[in-house]
Amino acid sequence: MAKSNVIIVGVNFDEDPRDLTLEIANHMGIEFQTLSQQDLDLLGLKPPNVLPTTYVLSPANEVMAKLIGMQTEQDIIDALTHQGLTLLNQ
Amino acid sequence: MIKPINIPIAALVVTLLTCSLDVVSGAAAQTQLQNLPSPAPSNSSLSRVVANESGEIYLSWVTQNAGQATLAYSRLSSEGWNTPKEISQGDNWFINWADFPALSVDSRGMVAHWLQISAQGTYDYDIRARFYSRDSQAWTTPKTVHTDGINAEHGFVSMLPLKDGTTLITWLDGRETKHGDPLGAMTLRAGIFDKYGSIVNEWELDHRVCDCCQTSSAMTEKGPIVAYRDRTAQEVRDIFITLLIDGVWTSPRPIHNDNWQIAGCPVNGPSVAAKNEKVAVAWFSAKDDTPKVQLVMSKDNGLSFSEPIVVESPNTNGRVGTAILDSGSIVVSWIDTTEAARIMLSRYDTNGEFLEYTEVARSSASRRSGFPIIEAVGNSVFITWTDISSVPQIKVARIDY
Repeated sequence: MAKSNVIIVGVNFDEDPRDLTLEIANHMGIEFQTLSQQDLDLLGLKPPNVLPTTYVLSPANEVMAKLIGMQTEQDIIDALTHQGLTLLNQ
Repeated sequence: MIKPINIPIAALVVTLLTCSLDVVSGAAAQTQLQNLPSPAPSNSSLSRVVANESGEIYLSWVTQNAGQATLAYSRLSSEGWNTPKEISQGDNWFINWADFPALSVDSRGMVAHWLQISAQGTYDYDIRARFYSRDSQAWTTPKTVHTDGINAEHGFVSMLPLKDGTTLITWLDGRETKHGDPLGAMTLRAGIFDKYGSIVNEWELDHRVCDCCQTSSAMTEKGPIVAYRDRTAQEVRDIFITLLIDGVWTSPRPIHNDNWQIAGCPVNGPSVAAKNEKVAVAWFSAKDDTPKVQLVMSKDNGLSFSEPIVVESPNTNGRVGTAILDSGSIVVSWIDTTEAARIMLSRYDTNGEFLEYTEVARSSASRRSGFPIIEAVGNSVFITWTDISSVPQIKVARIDY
């Protein structure tokens, strides 16, 4: 999916300081980008009620889907398809 | 080094780029809120307030400085807070906004716990505890509460002093999550410990529970009651209770069938309070993506419960507390998220009729603000929380009804 037109980013649910978030991500082997609190504020995303939660955002950063629980790549592809979005390999 | 590696770190976002003394508002005229001075220094958080059977109030908290975490407490006397005393200190603690130290007190002594990293795994941490006897006026050396010896998650502790001087400790135990195919589930366990910290008895109360929601316990006339978030094979995560009656735990059962089916964890446990034969349980749910704080009451020691009362919906993120006053009325603490987060108290009479709201303080929906904790003494409620508007600082207030 990393080579497609979809970008995956992570959010630290616990809202730790930025340097700590990066340390945790490194510790957990998370290679995708993590958002800062400022990024989140711009997106206007409210904290989810359940962990993990996955949001599918449109190119205009509108929430198109909210997926609760662990998601496989196919789950995300299905969610994109359900929203009429197409996964393009690049 | 303190490793504040936190409970489920990442809510994933998938972005397609190319694609003082106040008469409180809304409250009865006689209700007064008094902000108390805090005995905790700056950079303090993770506080709890707890009372002994005489109604003496104790406050515990954690401070973090230069990689070192310290658990301390203070007792509220007629002259104010006593000089804070240190319980334990470490540079290898698991520090988390939802899973944090507790203090249990009675006339015979105290028990305090903290969480200590046990291995390299993100959630490998042990429950460590010290036991204080008023006879010897000394704390024991730190002891590990669980005996599995497995590097796994152990936490979300609740503690309850028993009449014979022992202490009931309940916790989430991840020993089963490290083996099996598929891996086992988080379990709920409990043990009774004597004043030296030795195990008198130990049980597995539930073989499959929600992974990171707080447990809660209280003493009924029949015996201890424990409330927790269950997890069925179908991922229904409703609130269950079990009671220890005459040395036997009752079969776990739901207090209400929310039927909240979620393949994830809300990090939002229930809160149970008991006084004489009365029991009250408050909890959070968000079925159909609708956040809700509810309350059920029992007049028969938790053997049966009323239909739920909706304390708030949908403008809440839960983080509930429950207390029962001498008058019999029930107080529920919760977070209002209508605009900026506010710490709220709702009071109900013994029949569940709503009496009043009390706004305790402006807060933050941020996890760093933690879980407010309440405790009833007489017809007053003491509440503690963390103010994160600048350097984290423990706050304490008293509400007289």
